Amino acid sequence: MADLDELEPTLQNIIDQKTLRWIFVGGKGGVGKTTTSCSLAIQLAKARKSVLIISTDPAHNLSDAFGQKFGKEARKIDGFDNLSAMEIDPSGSMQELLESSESGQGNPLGGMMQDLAFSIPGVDEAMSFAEVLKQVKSMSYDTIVFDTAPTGHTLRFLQFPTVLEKALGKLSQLSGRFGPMLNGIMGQGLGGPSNVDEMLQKMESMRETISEVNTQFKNPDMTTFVCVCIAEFLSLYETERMIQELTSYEIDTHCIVVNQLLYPKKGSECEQCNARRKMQKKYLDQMTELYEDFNVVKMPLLTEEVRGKDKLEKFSEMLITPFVPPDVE
Amino acid sequence: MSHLLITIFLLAIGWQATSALISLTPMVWSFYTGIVPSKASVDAETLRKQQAEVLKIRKEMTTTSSQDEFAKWAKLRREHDKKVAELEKLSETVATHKRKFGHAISTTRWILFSALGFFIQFWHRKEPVFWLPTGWLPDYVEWGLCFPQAPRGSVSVNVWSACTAVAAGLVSGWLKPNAPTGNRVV
Repeated sequence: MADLDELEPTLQNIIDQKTLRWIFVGGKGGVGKTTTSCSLAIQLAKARKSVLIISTDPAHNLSDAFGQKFGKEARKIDGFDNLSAMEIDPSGSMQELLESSESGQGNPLGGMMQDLAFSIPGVDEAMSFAEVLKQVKSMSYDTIVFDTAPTGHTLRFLQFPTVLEKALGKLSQLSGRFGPMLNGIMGQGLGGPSNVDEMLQKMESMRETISEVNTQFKNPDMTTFVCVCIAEFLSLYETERMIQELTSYEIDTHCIVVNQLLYPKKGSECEQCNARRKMQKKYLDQMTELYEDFNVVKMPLLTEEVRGKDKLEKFSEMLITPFVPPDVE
Repeated sequence: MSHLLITIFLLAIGWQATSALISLTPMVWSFYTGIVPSKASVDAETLRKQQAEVLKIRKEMTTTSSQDEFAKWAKLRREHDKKVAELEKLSETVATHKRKFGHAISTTRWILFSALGFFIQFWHRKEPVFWLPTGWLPDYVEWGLCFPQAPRGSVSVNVWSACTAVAAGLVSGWLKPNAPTGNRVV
């Protein structure tokens, strides 16, 4: 709290903002997203009734972090009574959707769905995302923390609601005109008259979910994005790009967590550590200058891997109470 | 009837002379925006200024090391992206202005020369432009020259227009050997 201009270097503001429902944690691969999101979820669990953490990363790390197997269903994390976790595979649920729509044998709509999945890039992930959101919405969690996949994926994920809403809007508009005709043709051919209608209803309800979620995502009172990075050029570069893109999607972001900072002891002889500290300090200074309206949280590099409940809990303390390096040069 | 002869001749020359104007529309446009104050000229001026600004920022970005001065570089880039977005929007507006301007030029040209020519041809279709000496040309040629409604033995307005158009086209073709000849549809 040395400077009034500078925002406090903690995530306390997220804990205090009780209206927040969706919290995304994202950044490049290997910067400690999962550790950060788990720690944040642990801290949130202390202040909220119930918290869910979802991993959308195809390489699931939640199981690793907590040393417990998670699946598509939300499951309580051992040792917590209001913290659950689930891991979803973005491409997995589309497969199920395809299979379920193909259950009626020779159903031409199944083929159509399949064509759709291949013709529009990202639509399969979008559909599965919508499914998950629908599921999550029906569950009564106070706050949902998303441990997102590395940068590219993340942004695509957040873009989906807009893209999909547009596409589905077009589709339902078209169906309004051609639905009866399609139904006539297909109904006769198949003997199942309500096929098209059912399908369109499904899509319409999906569209509603998505547009609702979309408005929630764009509401800074309900959604925020926590950027995780390390004090290195590429990571910083990606973070800046991500922040700009998030702004263009109108998604709020005001917190940055800088991980893996080195604080060699005074008089340390470790050449690498000192050199790295110097480099990290350079980028930290740049960040302070560039992101003056952000809460920049500085997390130290530990000598051990942050795995398991106890270590995560200890680590998570530092998100709230800023870490004070012992005595640094 | 000499006034008809001269008017039509002038129209044909005018049409050819202004064909250069059409191919030089971009130049005429910048001339116009430079002189006549209007919304279009203000936009065009702003566009030029913004382009210069973007180029300046780009130059500054290349001289700023993104590794050593990341904050400065990132701020420049933010500014650059913002300016480019604005620039794109504005350049679209200016392009619309430009299209409208080109359209106005060609419409005016058409009304002044082509449409007026058509009207004169229609209005004076029964009048001779000038008489041919009797017996100089065979019957069928006389019939063709007075086509469609001028009295026999004279040259009709329509034929005269066609002749002047072709002649003007040829001459303008000789004058600017590299440019395609102006085409007049009569």
